[in-house]
Amino acid sequence: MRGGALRGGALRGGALRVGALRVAAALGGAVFVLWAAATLTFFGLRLIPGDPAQAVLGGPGSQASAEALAAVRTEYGFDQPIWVQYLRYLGRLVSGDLGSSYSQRQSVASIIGSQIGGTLLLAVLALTVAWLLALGLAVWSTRGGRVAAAVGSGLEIVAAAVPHFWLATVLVLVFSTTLRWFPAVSTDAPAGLVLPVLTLALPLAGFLGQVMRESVLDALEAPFVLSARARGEGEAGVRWRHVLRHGALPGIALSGWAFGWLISGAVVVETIFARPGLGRTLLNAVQLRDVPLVIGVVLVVAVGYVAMTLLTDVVSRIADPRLAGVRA
Amino acid sequence: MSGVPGEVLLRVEGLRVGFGGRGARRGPAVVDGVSFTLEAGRALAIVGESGSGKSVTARSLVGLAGAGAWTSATALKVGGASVLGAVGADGIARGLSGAAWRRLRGREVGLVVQDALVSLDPLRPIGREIGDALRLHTRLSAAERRARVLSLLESVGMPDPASRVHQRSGELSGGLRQRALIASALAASPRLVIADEPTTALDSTVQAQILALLEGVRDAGTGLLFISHDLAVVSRIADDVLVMRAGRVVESGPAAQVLGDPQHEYTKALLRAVPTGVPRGVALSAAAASPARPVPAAASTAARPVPPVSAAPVLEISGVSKRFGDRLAVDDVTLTLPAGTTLGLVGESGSGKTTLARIALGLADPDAGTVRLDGLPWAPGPERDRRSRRPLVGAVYQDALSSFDPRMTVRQILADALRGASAARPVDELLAELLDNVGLSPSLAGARPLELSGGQRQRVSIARALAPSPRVIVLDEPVSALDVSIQAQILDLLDRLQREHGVAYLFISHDLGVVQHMSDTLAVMKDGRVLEQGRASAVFDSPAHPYTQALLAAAPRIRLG
Repeated sequence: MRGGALRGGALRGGALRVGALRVAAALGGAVFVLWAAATLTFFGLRLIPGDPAQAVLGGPGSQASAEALAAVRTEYGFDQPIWVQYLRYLGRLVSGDLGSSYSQRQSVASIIGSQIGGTLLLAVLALTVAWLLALGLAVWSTRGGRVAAAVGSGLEIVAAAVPHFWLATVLVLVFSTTLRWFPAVSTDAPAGLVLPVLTLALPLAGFLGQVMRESVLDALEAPFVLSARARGEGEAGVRWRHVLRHGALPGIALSGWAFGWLISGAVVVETIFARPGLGRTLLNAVQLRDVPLVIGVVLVVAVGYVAMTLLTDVVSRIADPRLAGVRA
Repeated sequence: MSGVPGEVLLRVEGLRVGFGGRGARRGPAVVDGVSFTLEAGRALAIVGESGSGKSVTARSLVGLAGAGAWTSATALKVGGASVLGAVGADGIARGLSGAAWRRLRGREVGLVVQDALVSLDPLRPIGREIGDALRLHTRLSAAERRARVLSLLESVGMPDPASRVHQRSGELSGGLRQRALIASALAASPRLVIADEPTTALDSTVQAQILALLEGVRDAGTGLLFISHDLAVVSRIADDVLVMRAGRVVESGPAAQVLGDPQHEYTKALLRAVPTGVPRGVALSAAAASPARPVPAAASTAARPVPPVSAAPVLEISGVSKRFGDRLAVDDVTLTLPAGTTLGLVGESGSGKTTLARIALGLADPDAGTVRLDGLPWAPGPERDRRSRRPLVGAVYQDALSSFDPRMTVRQILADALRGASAARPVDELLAELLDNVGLSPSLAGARPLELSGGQRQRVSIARALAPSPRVIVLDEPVSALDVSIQAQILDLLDRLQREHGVAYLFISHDLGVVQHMSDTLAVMKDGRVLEQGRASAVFDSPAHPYTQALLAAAPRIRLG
């Protein structure tokens, strides 16, 4: 503020430079993450015992002839040294070709294209529900009563600690088998989405709720809340206009991580609820040693994870202008 | 919408406030039997140290004393109406209903809460914060509210309100935040404004501006309840003064009477503690002689002999500059500190004082210029050249607490500082001597920093700086975070240590009164440059630079009438 107009201009120029550098660094980081994900998956799958050619010819246990296996090895380049296979694969990836699936005999891109929608729907719904539950619980449990606080933090810890497969089983037993409210097999119909979404959302709400409640409590103690009350602001106003936003900040930061966590949860949930999607595709592909499909799914998830992290960065900056750094 | 002159806006009789518990088991009163009245167009100041109950008194007037607070009073009327609500058999008032309190807050009573720096929501533009009071208490449309917010900001002296209204508190300086906060308290035109330490943590020139602003509010017919620990500030604005100690009123009356002819010992002590205009070497605190170490009467009261500013220089800063990005924090500064004397360095926040201190301490290398210690090169240069002479330079900071490892005890902190000191004597003996030197009881040796009071912490950090027998101690705002009476004790302590140990001080402060009281020579800094320097008495008697004159005019001192 002491700088005046001249220095303000210089600062803004500096901020632009810093901004461009930051974007470049973020993109570089994203490329590195994708490369690392592809490479780790490629070599990781080689560690699983078994013959890739076998996977092409109907998976482990198929009675393929030695001639057929040899033909496949030549066709797919399995007879080449592994680093040649790796470089070839990387080259194809760079040109945008995810290759074709060994087991399903169609392009990885089209398989992912047909499966990604259901998983994204599941993840986005679960994230939304988790947010609403966590914020609601955080704001409600900090109303002042000791009982509410204990119940709130207790629920959060239990929810965060529950494994997906157990939660899914319990939900199916209660709401599907006993009460017959929702189907046990998931479809994209609203009723069919309830149980899988809850399975993913409840533990996440536990995690989010814990960090949000902490910052809601901090905000409620802050002098600016006393200031707002002194202005005549009521309890609801204090929460809605001041505390909610402060409480949401750490939740936003955590949402990038939560996305990755939801995808790994989708592997379990899609399997249990017999729901088509990326998670189930990934599981099947790993079991069949379908290397191109596994890497394809991993890459898509990595892209989503990176994008989500960048997005939470941007949203954090909008929600909390203090993070924007240099401002005149 | 200010009150009719002479109208009683506040009537408080026998107010008692405490925390925790119920019925017979309720907690002790922290405000015990406070009574006063406040009329429209007048300013009443409640004065006392931290913990005296002055803030709790103010907040209980609007039902915001805090969670678990209980209140009882013979009468508690705000704006003519009682806010006690139903009174139980045990005398505890239920207070107003939530809705009734909310109608009162902001509309009838504007509260400027303590700590302006963090009292506006950092995520919301100040215009929204100020507009909230209008949204809650008026029927103005959104557009009318915007216009009113702009005129409010204008009236509290906010420069360029049209663009400031969209900024958040983090983008404003301390003085501007305080203005915005005052604007939010004034927004719904309350007849009564309570300002809780509104000038604390502000530079003295900004302090003077805020006081002038509040004076204008009072003169417009608003009743002003002013809370402060600083008598000098209070004397500028208050018509009446109420001195509180440990929850009780020790003295009250018209400001001229209480401050001009104090009857109670405590009021006298508070007045004595104001350093402005008190000659060098004269004790400020009543207990200049700590119980552990009586100081000869002659030394504590007589002004000390003319300071030997002609002594050989122990610290020579010549032509030092330091740049951060495109900001010149220190700009070609040349200063000399003669041995055994105090060089006062005064300036407002952002003037480069602390950067200069870090350079003097050898913690940051200057971009240009040199620093010499005891005639030998000190900075710039590699740290290994300085290491053997590090014991010659000590440092004391404003925030003593964060300068300690919280897990270490006082004994460990001091033993750590004594490492490398003369091995001729056992550490325990040196340690006891150190504690005695700074007036701390030996029983505190086992305490950890968090268990100490602010004044005790600063004594420990002075002992730590003193441990290796330094030639120079750099004191960076050593008393800024302390109450006036504790400040007085620490200043007296520093003065005595200088006399006994012959250590030189580079004394940095934004408070001209403190610097004047402590310094033999003085340098005034602004925007990284030294505007004026010389013998302190000469600078104070005839300041040459207009900025120094403005600083002097704003320095806190008791003014009566």
